[in-house]
Amino acid sequence: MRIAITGAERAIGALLAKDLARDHDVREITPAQLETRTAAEAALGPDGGAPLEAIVHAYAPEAAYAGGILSEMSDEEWDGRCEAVLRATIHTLQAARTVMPGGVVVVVLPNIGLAGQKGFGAYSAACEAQRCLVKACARAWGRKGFRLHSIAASPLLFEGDLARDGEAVSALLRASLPTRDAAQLGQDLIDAARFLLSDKAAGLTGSTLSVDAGRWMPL
Amino acid sequence: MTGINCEGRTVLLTGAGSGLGRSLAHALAEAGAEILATVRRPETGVEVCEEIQAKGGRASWLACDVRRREEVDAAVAAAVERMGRLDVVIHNATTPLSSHQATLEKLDDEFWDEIVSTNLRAAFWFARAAYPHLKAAGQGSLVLLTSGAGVEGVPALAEYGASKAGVRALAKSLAQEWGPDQIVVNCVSPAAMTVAYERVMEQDPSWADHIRRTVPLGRVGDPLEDVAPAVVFLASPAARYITGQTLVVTGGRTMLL
Repeated sequence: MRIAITGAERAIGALLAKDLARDHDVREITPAQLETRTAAEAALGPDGGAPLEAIVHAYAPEAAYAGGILSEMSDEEWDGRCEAVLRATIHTLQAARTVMPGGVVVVVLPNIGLAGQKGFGAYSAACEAQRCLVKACARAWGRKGFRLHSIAASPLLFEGDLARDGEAVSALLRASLPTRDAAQLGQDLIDAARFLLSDKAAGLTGSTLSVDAGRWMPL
Repeated sequence: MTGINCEGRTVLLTGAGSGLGRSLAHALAEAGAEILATVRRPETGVEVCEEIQAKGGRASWLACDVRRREEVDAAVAAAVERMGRLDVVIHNATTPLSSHQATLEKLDDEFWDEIVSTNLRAAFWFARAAYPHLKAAGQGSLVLLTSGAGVEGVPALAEYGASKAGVRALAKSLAQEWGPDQIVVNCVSPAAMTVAYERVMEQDPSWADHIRRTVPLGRVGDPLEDVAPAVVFLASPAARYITGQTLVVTGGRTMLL
């Protein structure tokens, strides 16, 4: 399968890129290539070969992983933690629809949008907005051959303050499954992504898979 | 026992000049609140305040473009100056583009900025500006209007839905951050016959039949009779132990949890 991965330069995206490259043709998309729709279309378009069949969108600006109390946040911090995240996702989705004949899009994000997260309100708003974009596009593009999903993952899998805060939150919450470390959660994420990318998920679209040892059980 | 009224509460209400907002202004005033109504068009501010005052209510208005931070900050400052304190902020204002239907790939960055600035960024700005005053009030409340499009994902309202989904998550995070200050933060997700809804019905006459088939109560809600009471409740002291929630007022069309 020909798969594009955003956010492959670090952390969770790098994890996915490395694993999927074992048996798929992986194309890594840089942050700069998501800054405009035009750039995203050029990056995701056919590169002389066959078109892409899937996108794993794991990118968020590094600023998003920094904590910040909303009542003290500057406009620039808000943009970096929320709106810049959304712009990149919108450009990715728009480009996918324009340059791909169909395929699967999996958006990977922390689960903080499901229940909000103190200190990460701006990024949690972006996460929930992304989940809604996935659902709306899943409904709009299903008959055009597209399936879209979200993976809402444990904050432990991300970076910066978000991952450190994830440690503290994990200590407070009781997981439904025995506590899993970051390496185990990482494998859980890879397995979930592989499932959603595969034909085994042909009947699913618009779904959210929680990969967090059962901490949050959304609807 | 705490009553479900807003007697003595001071409220900043955005988008009060028309549609659902106008109904909210009337309902809050009838429940005893003093209101600063922000509007886009001054004439609507004059009208709604005269209507409220004619019934013995207390209201003033202010023109405010919620896409501009300085006007948001000025609205909060004006509310505190005119009413002496600020107990409740209700962000209802949106853009006419919110009802513009098109799938994501047909939209441009300017459209997205219009949507996100009025629905999500403005919610952040109002929250940030109002926080110290809501904290000082002692039993503050922030109510954010969201949408079912932000829960279910609607094909032709992807960006609008995304902005409203962001509002819900913002509310949950704020609820956690402001809880120690006894400020509650909640959302209302309504389905009401507003101007935008009427526009949708005109564009697609089959929508009325769709409503009858998919809404258990078989009708679109009335802004004043069906939706406003929910907002009044969340703005009142009766809701002081409810925070981080979304009250879905859609006649049963959306059933969460």
